[in-house]
Amino acid sequence: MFKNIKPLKMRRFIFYKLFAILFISLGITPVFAGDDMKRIFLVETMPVPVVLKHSDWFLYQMNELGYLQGENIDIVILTPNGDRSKAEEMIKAEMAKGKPYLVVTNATMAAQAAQKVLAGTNIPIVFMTVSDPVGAGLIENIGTPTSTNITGKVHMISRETRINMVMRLIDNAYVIKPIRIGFIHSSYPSSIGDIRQLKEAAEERGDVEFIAYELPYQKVPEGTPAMLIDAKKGIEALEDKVDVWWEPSGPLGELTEYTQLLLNCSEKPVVMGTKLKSAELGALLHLTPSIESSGRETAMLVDAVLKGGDPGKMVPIPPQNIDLGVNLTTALKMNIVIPPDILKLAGKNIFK
Amino acid sequence: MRLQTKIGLILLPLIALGILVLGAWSIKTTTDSIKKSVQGHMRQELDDFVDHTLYSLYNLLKENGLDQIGSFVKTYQHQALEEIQNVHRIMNGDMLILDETGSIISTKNTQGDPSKLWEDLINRSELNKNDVVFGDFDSSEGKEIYSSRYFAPWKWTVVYLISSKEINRTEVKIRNTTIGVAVLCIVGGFVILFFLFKFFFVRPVSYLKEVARDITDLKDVDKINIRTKDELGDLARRMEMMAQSIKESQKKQRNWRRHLEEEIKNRTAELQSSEERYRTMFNNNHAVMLLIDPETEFIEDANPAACEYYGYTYDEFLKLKVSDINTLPREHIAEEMENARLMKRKQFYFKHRLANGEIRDVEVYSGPITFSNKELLFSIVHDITARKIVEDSLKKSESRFKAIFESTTDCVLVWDKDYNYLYANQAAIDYVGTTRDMVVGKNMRDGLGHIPDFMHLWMKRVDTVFETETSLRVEDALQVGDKFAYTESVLSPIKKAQGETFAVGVVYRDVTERKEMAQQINEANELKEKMISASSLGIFVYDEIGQCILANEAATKIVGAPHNKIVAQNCNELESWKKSRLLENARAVMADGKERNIEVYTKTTFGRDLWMKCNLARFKMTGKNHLLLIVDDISERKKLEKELQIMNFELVQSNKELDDFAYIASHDLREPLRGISNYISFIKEDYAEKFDKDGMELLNTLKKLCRREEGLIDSLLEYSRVGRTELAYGNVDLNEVVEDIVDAIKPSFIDQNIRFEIPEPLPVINCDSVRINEVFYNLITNGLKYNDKKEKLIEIGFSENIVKKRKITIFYVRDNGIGIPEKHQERIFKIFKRLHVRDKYGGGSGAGLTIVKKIVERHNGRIWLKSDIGQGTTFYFTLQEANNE
Repeated sequence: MFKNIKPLKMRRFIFYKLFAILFISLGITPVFAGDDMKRIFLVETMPVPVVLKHSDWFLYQMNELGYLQGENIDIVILTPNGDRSKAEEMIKAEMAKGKPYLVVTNATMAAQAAQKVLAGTNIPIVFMTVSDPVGAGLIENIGTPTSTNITGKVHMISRETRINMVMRLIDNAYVIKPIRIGFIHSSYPSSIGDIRQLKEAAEERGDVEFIAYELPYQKVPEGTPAMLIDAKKGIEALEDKVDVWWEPSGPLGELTEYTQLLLNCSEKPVVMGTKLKSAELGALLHLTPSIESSGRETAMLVDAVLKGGDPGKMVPIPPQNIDLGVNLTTALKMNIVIPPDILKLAGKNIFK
Repeated sequence: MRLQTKIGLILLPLIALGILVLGAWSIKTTTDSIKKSVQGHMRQELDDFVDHTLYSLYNLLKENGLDQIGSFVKTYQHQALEEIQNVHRIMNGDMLILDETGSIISTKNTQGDPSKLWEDLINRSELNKNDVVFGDFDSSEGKEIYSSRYFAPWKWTVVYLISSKEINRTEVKIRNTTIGVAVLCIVGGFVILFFLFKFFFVRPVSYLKEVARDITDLKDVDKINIRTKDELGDLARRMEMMAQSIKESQKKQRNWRRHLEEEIKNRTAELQSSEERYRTMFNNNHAVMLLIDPETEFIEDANPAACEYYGYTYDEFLKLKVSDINTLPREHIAEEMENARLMKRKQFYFKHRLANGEIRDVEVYSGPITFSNKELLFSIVHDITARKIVEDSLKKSESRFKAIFESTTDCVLVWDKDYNYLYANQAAIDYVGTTRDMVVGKNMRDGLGHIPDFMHLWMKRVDTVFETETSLRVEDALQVGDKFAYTESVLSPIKKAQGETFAVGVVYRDVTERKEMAQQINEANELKEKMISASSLGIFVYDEIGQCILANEAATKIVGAPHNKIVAQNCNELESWKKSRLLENARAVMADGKERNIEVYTKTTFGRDLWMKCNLARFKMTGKNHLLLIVDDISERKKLEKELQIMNFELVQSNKELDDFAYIASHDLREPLRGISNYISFIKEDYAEKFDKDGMELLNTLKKLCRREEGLIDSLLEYSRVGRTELAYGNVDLNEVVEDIVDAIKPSFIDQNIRFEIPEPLPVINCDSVRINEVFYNLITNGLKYNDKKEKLIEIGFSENIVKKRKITIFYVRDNGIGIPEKHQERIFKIFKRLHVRDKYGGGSGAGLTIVKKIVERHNGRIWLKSDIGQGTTFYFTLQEANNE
């Protein structure tokens, strides 16, 4: 998977450059027309790795499905940098230039912005990288048709599964129960949804407890330092109250600096990393839906909608594949034996 | 012992032996297969467990550098020991793992003694090899079979144990089953064999035996109820055929006997009937019948009709000899009777004498018959006296017809069936240039043998008439020298009174002349058709009722329609004919037969607009009046004429405008010129003293130029007046005109020797007298002015010529002057064009001839000249030429 990242970045680079050359740098207002040239907005919440990789795989798969930029499709990429009002303005501005056939949103905030702007229209919205679409108000249920103009891929593995996976590894390492898990998160919607669901799952088990610390969400990337300062405060506040750390969904969890902060500023191990990089840096486990699978399957949903499919009949579910990462050094430090089935599942994502 | 018993006894041991051998072979094969199968399964399970489970776990540890981490290794080994429970085993087998000390580290289910197993394994050197080892050992439970594989990384030996009891139990079960099956097969086979043998062999043979007995007893055997497709079935069919054959033979014999009896009976009855019938026929027949003994010449029997005919009683007849009734001499009678007896002839003509002495012509049919072993002559006598009379009459009639044939100029020949000439009339004899003897009685081969093809042709024709008995009309062409002689012949059957054709007569005549004439007519017609076809004029022919029957190619082009559509038209129904008055003229032509030429403009039925020049004429064809219409498409000519008219009109208009312009210009120019001239006169008069000599000379020159200019303007004015003013036509005596002119100009030439000649009095013509006066005046004065001869001669005359059927009067004025070079002859008619310096030959404005030409043209005439340098010039002109047209 890592081998594919470089060419994807290059493609993305070329795509942006061509777009810029064609429409922006020359100051030419793009002319969108044609029944055979379909216009799509791709709204990226913010330029964090998980979002960019999703977009890369989405564009890659669209290309493989025969959609060629400028020939039979016109994908307009909007990057509001985590600012929801900006996202809404950008969508409106582009709408004024030409009505899109559908809008693809990458991450929760973009999806919410698109939902608001396109309310009352029948323009389809296909979301990806949304871990809690129900909590975000995009859909009512996961796994059933939405009967609206919104569908997408849920970037989530159920919280119960994730807790079970972690507990299977660390259960024997901690005699005192419940095991206290520290959860420092921002006020970003998906993060809020994440901790809510984790707590619900933990309550059912009883042998694990989540202790949360919420800090205000700041726009990424300019708000990143501020959020990291707040996160450090959270670490200091919870250090003595928790046994292990759990990285949250949302922009904060996506930051590499946040993982490094947890590992460096705390004696307690990080048992669940939000991103694969977390496992590489030292988090015991990383378990998320496969970004490649999520991006590609989103493209297939878009393809189906472009061919006349009704998004209201398309069931929003997680992607078929998962990304599992394990850090053996952390495991050995915690005197944990990684069972063979997990080790096999991690495949190449085994870090030391 | 019956046959089936013998066969059964022979087959029984063979079947038993076969099943025994098969059973033994089966037991042996099955036991080996079980052992191999068990070993194969043990190997597969061991390999699967070691390669996929143990090595998988071990490799996972090793690849991640955990193979030395005790906790990981222990956990993964534990995982492997749990996995062993999932291995699939057969025959209650057991899989266990021994560590390097020989201890069982997996769950032990076997009842055997592991120490003995370990010893056995130690004794085998294959342990260090990564391959499966097979072996066995004795345990408290009996013999155990094992297979094992060594897993080096953890020094484990994986063993798969199966008790030999399990295998033996299976073998015994298979053996017992096989024996049981064999016994059942023997018994069942024998029973089946017995019943099959009985069904297929014994029962049919018994049935055939009974059938054979029935056949021997001559009983009816229709079908044998054996339908198998084997030899017994074939035998049954053969026996059926045999029985059927015997049955049919008996039936035939019975039929023949019955038929013979019937035949004898019928023949006997027929003979009796025949004799009675012939007797009755002889006695009751109206024909005269006699039975004559050829040896004695006595009449042996005579029927009542004979008695009645000859006038003798039956008893009297029996006493008569043939010579008593036949008038021939006795030797001739004997000779004829011999001919009849030997059947050389059967028809005879005699004269018989009746009892009353009357002699009758008779026709006798006589032939031998045998009656009561005696040969007699049976004679039937017909009285042909009346027929003879008719035949004589016919012969006379034939002579008359012969006379007719002889007198006709057509050749008449008659052949019989063998192509012999029976008759040839004189014309035929003359035609071939021979005598009658050389023809009649000869054969066609004699006459036509030298031209075999022709002869065979005629033979075939004669045969055809004989066969069909109908007349045949033929024509022949025979090459005679370099020419052909054509004949036309009619062959007819000549029949006897009975209707039988006995000869074929032919009447033929030489039709060469007629043929040649027809040929000439055809050629003429062909030429006519080609001419019509090639003509550029459209040619149509309409019949009496107006139906078009002919239209040539040019006609189709002119009308603009295909030939078939044109000939489908009736001119009486065509609107184009009605509107263009073509129909009216066509009817007039058909009525009075007078030819008409008209030009019509029409739009044809096929939409073509055109001008046509039509010639309509009536002619007779096949005795009926037809209309010939010859059409020339003159649309183009008409178009040109119209264009010419327009151009002429435009030209006239243009000339008129020019004339008007010239008049206005000259008239308006004259006034200031007169003013200038008057002012010059005033200056000369009032200021003469103020001018010196040169000044006065310049004034004189100026005055002179004014006069000259005035003269030119006058000429131009005159010229324009000629074009503008209406001509005052009237009858003008040209003699008077010329006389007036001569009188008028004589004073001007008083010092010169002038001679006028008018060869004949000039005519009176209808013209404008003033203008014609100008013409003659100008021409005469020119003839005198441009003349260097001492005696100046002017001849004025005319000639009348017929041009295109019109009378044209040509006037001329001839002089003996200096002449006009040919290159200037056109130029002299241009206004103000002079051929000489101004004052030479008396000067002048140079407009005279132009005005003359204008006047002549206004009189619809033309003017031209002939001139010889030094000899003189003759001007010719005509008047009213155009009007005459």
